[in-house]
Amino acid sequence: MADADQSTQQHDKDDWSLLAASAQGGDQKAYNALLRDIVPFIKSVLAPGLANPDWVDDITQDVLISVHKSLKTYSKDRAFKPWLLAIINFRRTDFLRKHYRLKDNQQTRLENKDFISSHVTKPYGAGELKDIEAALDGLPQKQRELFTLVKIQGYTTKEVAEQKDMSVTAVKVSVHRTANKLKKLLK
Amino acid sequence: MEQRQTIDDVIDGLSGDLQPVSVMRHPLSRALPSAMLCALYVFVVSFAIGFRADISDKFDEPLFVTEVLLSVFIAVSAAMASSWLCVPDMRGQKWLLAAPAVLFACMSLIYMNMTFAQGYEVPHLEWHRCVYQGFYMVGLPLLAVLVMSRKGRTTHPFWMSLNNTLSVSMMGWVGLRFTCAADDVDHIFTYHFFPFVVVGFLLLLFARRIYRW
Repeated sequence: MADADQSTQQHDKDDWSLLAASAQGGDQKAYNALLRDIVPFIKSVLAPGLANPDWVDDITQDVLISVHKSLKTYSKDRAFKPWLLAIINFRRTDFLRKHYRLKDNQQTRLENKDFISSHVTKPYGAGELKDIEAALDGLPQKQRELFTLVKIQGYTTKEVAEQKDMSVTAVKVSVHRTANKLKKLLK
Repeated sequence: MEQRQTIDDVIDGLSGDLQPVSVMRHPLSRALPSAMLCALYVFVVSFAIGFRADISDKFDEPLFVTEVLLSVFIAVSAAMASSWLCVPDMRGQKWLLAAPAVLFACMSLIYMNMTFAQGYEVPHLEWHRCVYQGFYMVGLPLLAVLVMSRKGRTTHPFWMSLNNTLSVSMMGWVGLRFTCAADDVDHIFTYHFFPFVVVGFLLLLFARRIYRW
């Protein structure tokens, strides 16, 4: 089985190298075949790390254009895949950098599914966050407030105690009890 | 389905536009001639400016010779790294990025040692002739290197900027050590080193724009 996989990979590598070398010589048919061949590979590399399936197609197109622009840098003596992977990673990073730079000041609630699906890298993790938010909402207001200040906003217990006119011990006890309650609720 | 057609359109468009391409030469055969040309240019400019009077004596000093040799090695290794960086995957030679960095760290250690020994005091700041001469030495080679690098397709614009600056400025550094008689750390850092740092910083700042493709 392993031998078969290895032989298939070797076959792909040789095929793509040969097609790329022919493309460098101006063979449009070979070039067309190469680009069509690599599209599933590009998508398989991109898909697991991206939130929005539409991005996969956008980046795939960018990668194809980049392959075209950098065809002269490919050496037929070397494997094709590492060369292609370097371009895919570069284009993916470039795309995500531009995307998040435009959106980095936006905030929303977890209920906003459209926003989450296009701005969160791992949207499947959003469900857990939503559960935590729901559990927090179910707590008495005072407990929720103290817990949020200490554990989410990062204030020290001393600062919170001063702000709420409580003793440090009382704040600590409340936060500890809230944490235990949340654990039970989320089990 | 619509997206799929778009990718098909892109593929058809790209393959329809295809013309035979001239394959990029091996990075080594691109790096070495350009490094040699840069060295020749710096030598000619240094000659035109005039070598320092004590240059033959300086070559008897092990520290000076070490410094010059290190600078040349840094320049050559950085030129090689930038040449390999012109290929998206660097043809598997990523270790080349470490060579100039390690050599530069060695040189920095030598200069840190000199700074501790001599002490450092910022001299009276002015447009010293060494600043102009430094730019005469590196200006044209840096422009040539930038144009050459843009012909490649780098996936590491910051490394490319860093290595281009290092390769040219280290040659300029050697040129300045050959022409300027001052050996004190204050002068060397302020008028030989700092202007190149500023140039390097600007290139790093605009790296993504310069090497966009």
